Amino acid sequence: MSKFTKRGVVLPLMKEPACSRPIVDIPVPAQVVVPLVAGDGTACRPAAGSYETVLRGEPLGLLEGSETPAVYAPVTGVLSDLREMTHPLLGDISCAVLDGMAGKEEKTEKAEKRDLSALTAEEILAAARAAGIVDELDGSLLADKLESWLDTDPYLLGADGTEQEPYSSSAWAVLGEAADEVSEGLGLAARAAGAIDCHIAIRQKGKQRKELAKRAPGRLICTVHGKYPAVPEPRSAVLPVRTVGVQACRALYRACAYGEPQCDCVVTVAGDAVANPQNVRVPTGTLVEDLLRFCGLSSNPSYIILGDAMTGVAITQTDIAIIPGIACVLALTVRPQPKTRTCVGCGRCVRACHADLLPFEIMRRMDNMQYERLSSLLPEECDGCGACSYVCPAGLDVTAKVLEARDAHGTIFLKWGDGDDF
Amino acid sequence: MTFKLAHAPHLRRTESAAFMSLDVLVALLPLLLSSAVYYGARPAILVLLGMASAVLCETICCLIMKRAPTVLDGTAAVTGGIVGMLLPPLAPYWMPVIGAAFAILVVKMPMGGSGRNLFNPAAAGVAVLTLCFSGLMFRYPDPGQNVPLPLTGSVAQVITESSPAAQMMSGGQTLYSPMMLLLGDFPGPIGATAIAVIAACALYLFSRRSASPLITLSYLAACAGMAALFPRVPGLTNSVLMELCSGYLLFAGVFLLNDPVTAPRHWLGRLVYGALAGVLVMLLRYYGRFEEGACFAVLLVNAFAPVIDRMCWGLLNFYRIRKGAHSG
Amino acid sequence: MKQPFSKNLKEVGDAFLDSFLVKNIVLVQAIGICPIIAIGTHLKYGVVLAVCTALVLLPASLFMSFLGDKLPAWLRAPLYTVGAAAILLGAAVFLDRLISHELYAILYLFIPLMAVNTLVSYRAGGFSVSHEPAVALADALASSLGFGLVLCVVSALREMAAFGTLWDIPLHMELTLPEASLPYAAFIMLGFMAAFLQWLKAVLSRRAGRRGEGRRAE
Repeated sequence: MSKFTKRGVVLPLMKEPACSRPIVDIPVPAQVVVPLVAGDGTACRPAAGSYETVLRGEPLGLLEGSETPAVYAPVTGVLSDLREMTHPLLGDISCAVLDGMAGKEEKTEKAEKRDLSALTAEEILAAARAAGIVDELDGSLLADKLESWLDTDPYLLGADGTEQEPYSSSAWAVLGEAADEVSEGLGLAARAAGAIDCHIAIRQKGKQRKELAKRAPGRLICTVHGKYPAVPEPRSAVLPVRTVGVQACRALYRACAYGEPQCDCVVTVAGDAVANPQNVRVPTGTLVEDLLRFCGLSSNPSYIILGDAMTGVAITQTDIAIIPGIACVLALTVRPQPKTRTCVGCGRCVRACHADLLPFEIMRRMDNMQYERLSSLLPEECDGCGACSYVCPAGLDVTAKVLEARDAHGTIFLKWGDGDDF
Repeated sequence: MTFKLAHAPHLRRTESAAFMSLDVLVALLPLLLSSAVYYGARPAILVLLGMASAVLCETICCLIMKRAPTVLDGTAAVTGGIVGMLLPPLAPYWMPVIGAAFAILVVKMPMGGSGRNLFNPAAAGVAVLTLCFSGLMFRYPDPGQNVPLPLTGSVAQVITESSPAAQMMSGGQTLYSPMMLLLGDFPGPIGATAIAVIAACALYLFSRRSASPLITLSYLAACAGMAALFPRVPGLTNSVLMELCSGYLLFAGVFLLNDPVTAPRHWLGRLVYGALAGVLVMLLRYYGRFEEGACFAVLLVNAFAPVIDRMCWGLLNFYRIRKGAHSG
Repeated sequence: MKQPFSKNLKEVGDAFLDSFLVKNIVLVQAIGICPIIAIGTHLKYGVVLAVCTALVLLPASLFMSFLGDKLPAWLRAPLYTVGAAAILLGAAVFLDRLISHELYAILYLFIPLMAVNTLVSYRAGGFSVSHEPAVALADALASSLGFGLVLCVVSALREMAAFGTLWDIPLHMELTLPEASLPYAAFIMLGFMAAFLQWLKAVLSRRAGRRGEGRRAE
């Protein structure tokens, strides 16, 4: 994907007013539903018995067949129940229900800040794994991600704070709050993953960028221009860029410096149905309905979306737990969409696709069930950015069809044939 | 509270799908006006008859096929309008009706309806009229008469003149000054003579992204190239100018080839498509039976448009596809 | 390999219907379109060509069904083509001397062309080789009938539209469209006929489905 490509779309940014408000801590919810899954998806067993009190930061879930903690309690509370649920991002999981106890004393002695410059790559990775840090960009375990990049070709590591989608501003808020922690964490991640250099990528320029540079001294800050989805790399980069999330960097810093597990995440709550759009720090496992109630709903939403507008998943129930992979929750009353017609053939989706695909042709072959001719159109190169559906004037779900083609790769259907043996 | 399910993205540009047809209709309006200057109200009636016939046929077909009416996306009106625009101003009133009806009933609706047709219905309508009523199709009145054509009754007594395309085919040539060519002061179809107006309409459509400059410009370049290499009239610039301005070659390049449903969408595919169409149009002029065979050339390249699209994309992504085939 | 020999009439009937209606040789399998487009402009020509096709297809199918799999593969096609050409030579002479010289002069090229029509090679060379004689004969009959029927219908329609006559008898029609004798009209007609056949099949299968449901419900 060339830096000079003019493909992509210009998205309207609707980050205000959430962007300029400080991060708000949600009061400890009455109930927190913590998924008992390790970062790589394996199920864990509860570390405490029924109705036992667990303090914040203590292990809540242990890996099966060992005593290694993989899930930590985000709040101080009583383990009251084990619930099975179907999470839209994690699948069928069992969760531990903690009845939160507000005001209870936590571990008050702050741990010693360790010397970060002495940590080796293995120690950093071990700390990340022990803390169970999940990268909010793709929901994968940070330790696994960094480890997989260790012995690859030279690359640059970037903290992706660009937030090119319309609503989310959680990364910018975290950078505003603790840019130095993010910067330190990024340096640790680069060391752990063997990157040549690292940088923080943002969209803001001018005065805001200078302020950020002041708060994160010594770290390269690069402003990313270009249409969505732009690659978050410095303009002079010649090596490929790999990205981690801003909140994951901060969590890595806290894990290495203080041994704190990742217990909470910053989520942007926005949408035209929300009364107070803002960035909220929520403990892992907070239910969506609690979060929406905290921010207040000014009208009845028709859509609740986990994730931002371009790539988010619409949900039908609000008793879903928020996990660090979710950086945005939207409550929308209207979802602007042109009336759905047949493909007009305008070619806007081809112009918008940054992966140089033919989205309309993939959609056509999916509709005609010509699966055996799909692989030559390379649907597996699609990363689901949503630009093709965004520009389609016929209101078609082009992205959904291409992703369906990507996930159905390998399905061969026999072509209709006579059966004549000639 | 219940919430609805929907696919990402949850934000869309709210642009109607009919914008392309509306832009074309807006672009056809000045052409109609420029024709009215020379010939009176008859051209407008012919075009409106074509539009009405096309819209009626599409509505009836949608009712028979028990489908939601697709008339509102404007493509039927555009088809009927273009069929009307390519008729001579002297054409009898039943010609646009039959041409538009054929275009919709035989070429558009049976092939899948709006948005799914393989061939340009307007080009097919003009093609069938050219084949069946070739005498009437190429009987152009002399614009120098400055008398509006009769609206009712016989048109047999109107003075006709052979168009530049016919003269080039038979070997003779009347000299037209560039100003006459630009303003449409020569015999030709209703919408295809005012070259300056067509160029302005083309620029308007390019700016609104309803027509692709890649297609039109490669088409014109190919036509100009063929005219320069194989001139039918003496003089290089003369040949290129006369070939590009006669018949409905320019109109076909702007309106017929840019039909979004039948044209390729990849940029290289569009270039190849336009160039191929240009070569075919000129070949049909040199060796064809009629003085203007652009509609047949358009139909021919329409058949190849999907293949051109895929092949050009495949060519540019050859290494990616080979890598995918090896690893996948 | 050949299907086991069976005197099951139903199987023969199924083969017949299959080639005639369900997978009509022209309208569904799109074989043998060339003579229809090129020369199917008068009903007389259509009838003559249909008869020639039957004359060639029936013996070729029977021959290939009896002896086909005993011959090496490379020998089959030349054998039935040469045989067909010989039959058509006789037919052409018959047409010329005993029926009508003008008809022969117009159909001059298309009679021997039936010998190499894909019709013969697909049905005789492809289908009949691996099926028993009764089924092969039924298939050949159905193919000839299917082809002949479509050819005659298209020829009759084109003759009426283009020349205003039917079997050279003038019909005194006011409006004629001489361009209906051009190939494009035949293509369009074939397209609509194929669509009509699909609709017919859909209607019949729906009716059979309803009848089947009714029987099951009883």
